[in-house]
Amino acid sequence: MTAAPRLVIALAVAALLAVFLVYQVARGSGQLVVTVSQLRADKDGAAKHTVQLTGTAVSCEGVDCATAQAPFTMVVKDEGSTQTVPVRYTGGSVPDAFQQGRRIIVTGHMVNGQFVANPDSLVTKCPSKYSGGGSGA
Amino acid sequence: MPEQVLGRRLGGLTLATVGSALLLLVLALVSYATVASVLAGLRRDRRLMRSAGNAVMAAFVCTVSAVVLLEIALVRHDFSIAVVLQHTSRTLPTPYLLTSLWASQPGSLLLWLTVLTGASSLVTLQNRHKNRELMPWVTAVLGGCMVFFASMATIISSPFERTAGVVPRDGFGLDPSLQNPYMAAHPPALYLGYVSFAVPFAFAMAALITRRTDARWLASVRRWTLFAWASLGVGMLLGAHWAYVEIGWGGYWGWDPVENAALMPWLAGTAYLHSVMVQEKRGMLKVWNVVLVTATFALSIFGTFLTRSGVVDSIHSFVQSPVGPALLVFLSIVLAFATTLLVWRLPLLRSDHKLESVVSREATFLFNNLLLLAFAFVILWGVVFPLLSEAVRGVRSTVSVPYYNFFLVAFGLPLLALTGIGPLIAWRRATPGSLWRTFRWPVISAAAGGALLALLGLGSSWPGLTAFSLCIFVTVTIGLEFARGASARRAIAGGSWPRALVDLVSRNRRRYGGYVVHLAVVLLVVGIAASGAYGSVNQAVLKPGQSMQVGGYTLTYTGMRSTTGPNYVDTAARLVVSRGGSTQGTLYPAVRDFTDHTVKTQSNEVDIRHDLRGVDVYTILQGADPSKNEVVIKALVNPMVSLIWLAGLVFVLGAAITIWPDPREARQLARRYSTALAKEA
Amino acid sequence: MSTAIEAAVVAVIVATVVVAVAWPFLSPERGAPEPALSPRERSRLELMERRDAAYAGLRDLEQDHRTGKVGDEDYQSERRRLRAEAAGALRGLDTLDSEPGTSSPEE
Repeated sequence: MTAAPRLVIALAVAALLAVFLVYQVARGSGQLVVTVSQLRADKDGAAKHTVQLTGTAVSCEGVDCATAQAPFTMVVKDEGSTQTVPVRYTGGSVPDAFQQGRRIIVTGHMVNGQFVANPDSLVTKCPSKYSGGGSGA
Repeated sequence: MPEQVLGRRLGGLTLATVGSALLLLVLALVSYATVASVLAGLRRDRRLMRSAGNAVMAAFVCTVSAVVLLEIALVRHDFSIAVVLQHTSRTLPTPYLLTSLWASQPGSLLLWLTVLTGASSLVTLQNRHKNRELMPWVTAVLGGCMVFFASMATIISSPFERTAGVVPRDGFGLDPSLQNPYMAAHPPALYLGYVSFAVPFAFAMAALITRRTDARWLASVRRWTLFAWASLGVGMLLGAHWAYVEIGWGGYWGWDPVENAALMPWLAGTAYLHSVMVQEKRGMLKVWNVVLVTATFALSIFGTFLTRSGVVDSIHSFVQSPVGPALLVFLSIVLAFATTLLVWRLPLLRSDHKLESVVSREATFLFNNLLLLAFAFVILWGVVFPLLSEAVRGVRSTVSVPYYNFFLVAFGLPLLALTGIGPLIAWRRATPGSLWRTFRWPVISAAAGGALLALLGLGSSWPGLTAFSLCIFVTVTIGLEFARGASARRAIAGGSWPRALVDLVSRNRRRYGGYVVHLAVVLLVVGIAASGAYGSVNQAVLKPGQSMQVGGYTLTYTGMRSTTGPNYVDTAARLVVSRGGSTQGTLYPAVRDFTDHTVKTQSNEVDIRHDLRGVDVYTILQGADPSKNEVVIKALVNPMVSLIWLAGLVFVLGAAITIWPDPREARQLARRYSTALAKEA
Repeated sequence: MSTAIEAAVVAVIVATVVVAVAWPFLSPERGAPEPALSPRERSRLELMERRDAAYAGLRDLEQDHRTGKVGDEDYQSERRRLRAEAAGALRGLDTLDSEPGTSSPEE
């Protein structure tokens, strides 16, 4: 192509890149996603900020997890270790798929050894739709 | 104590044995087809090519047979087959028994393989008498893909795998969230899209191999590309609708990695559909188009990898399985293969013309491509960011919804503007005089409309207001195109306005079908902008007789109601909806208890009222306390969401018009290619 | 017994498939190799595409002019350019046809 259109195209590409880079710099690098052990170890300051916690919901205090309604407290266990943390889900909807033994993601922050989760932040992973086989639970 | 149930026998045969044998046969056939077509291409052996084509079609027949056998097993509750046990139960309604075929990993791979062998067979049949030089290589590339997926379905993840140990009397049931017609239709639509993108890719590679970079293959694959792109779009809308009515948080798109996995190839496909027009009209962007068609197919594979590998945290993440790494290897092979071919044949892909002016349709399409791909890149970055941050810093870090929404506005609004500019601007070069003449009315309408909307109070959200103004701009440009085109038609051929319109569209299916698709985009933007920028939400604890306000509506709780279904019991709250003092209707948001799960499962069934004003009143029963006779209700008022679903229908209409075969065009192509080369006749 | 029936059914399926795949070799049709496109044929194809692209461009130009997208001056200059392109392509095709040893495609 001739020089003038080529320059304009190049400027357009540069502009798009600039928008992207400016955004990334201005907004910071996003929210941490931590496991229970990383949270407990305060990795990267996880215990002091709002983070996303992933793990398995092993039990719910005083209620059946499958029919739990907010507010309630659950115990979340790590994938790779035996570490657990109590999580207080303060409000909001509980996903249909949520029950004991399901993997979850929840957003919140640590307060005195308990993870306080933001309302409506509980996400349950679709249970073993694509599991490798076996019991399917 | 579960009974011991022997595997179901079908006239003395085990379904699973015959099914497994069929899949092995498919693997053998597609392996043969790949090798035979490569040899046929090298030796120019017509018989070998026909044999390879027969092998592809035989593979399709065998795959469909395997599907039929699995469906029989599902309907007959043959729990000796693992996927039947894990995803169905005796009380599951028959339609969902049938659609549970693709609820499991192996079953969905089988579906993928079926679509792939079907598409390959159709391509073989369509090209019996044309593209003789290309077809061996098209079949070879498609064959390579088929070998991969057939290997996965036979070796890594077989749908006919037997249940280990004692076979229980009843299955585990289908996940409640999948017992919904939209979720049943969503995977097939998506797969039609993902898989069909293999066809243009195969043709592009074949054209490079045979040095047939003339436009013949572009014409051959145009309909396949449109079909793939339309299917993917419909698949995404079906998924969004499912999320809206089933997941129950009041939204339809969460920028979840698996949603993004479908959006990325769709964006690349959209870019490709536009830039291919530039290649046809002006002989430019040849290298770019090869890159785009490869990127689209590669993103389809990547999307499949994301969904099945469990590598990124998502609502849909699944247990780690060997399917993930296999897909990654396949993706690497595809990219390496395409890159090698492209670099090797680069000298053949010189442009016929240059870009002369930035104020031209070519430039508009180029800008549209840049924006679409920038957006796809931004999404890709957001999806892999957790993996990258973990690799670099040892801890995962995600980007959240505001990241995506920022770029949706930043790139989406200019794209919307280009949607209006592109159709009206001339090829090669537009002069200032012609620009003013063509854009005068759309610009004035948009400015006036925007001012009016601001006066009506919509100025609270500037992205929303800008989006609406641009929608007015685009709608006026489309209207003008139809009006001026029909008027010109009448000037030539006479007749009535409706007649002229029909003639106009029929003679220019691509152009006017494309305009209808643009109209669908306008509806989509209005729906998204309105519901995103102008909605309301409220939550309250109510006793019988108490009311709550949301977005100008009053919801009064009057009591509970219980209903029973084939495999569930619903407990619903009765809500009377009124507005301005007059009763509008009743809503029953419920909690559903499924009776056929080994572990009791509950789901939330929202209730939505679609207003004539285009407003949705969306209610969720978040909780109930019988001891206190209280319910927790969350309600949302979502304006214009119905437009999004309407946009889907208009989109399908537009795509159908564009895809519809034009006998005139077919004759012209036949004339050009078959008379020039007598051997092809 | 049932295993034998299973094996028989599978064998029948496999046999059918093998026949379908081998059919092109079994049928009496001669299997002459598919000739490649000669450079002359490639040129012909290119010229025909250029000719048809110019015709399509002219058609679009007419439409754009009638609907007011392109002004009279631009219309005239663009029309001249496209007609020249079409004429050039047609001339090229004529040259190819008149070269000795070619059979005209329309024969």
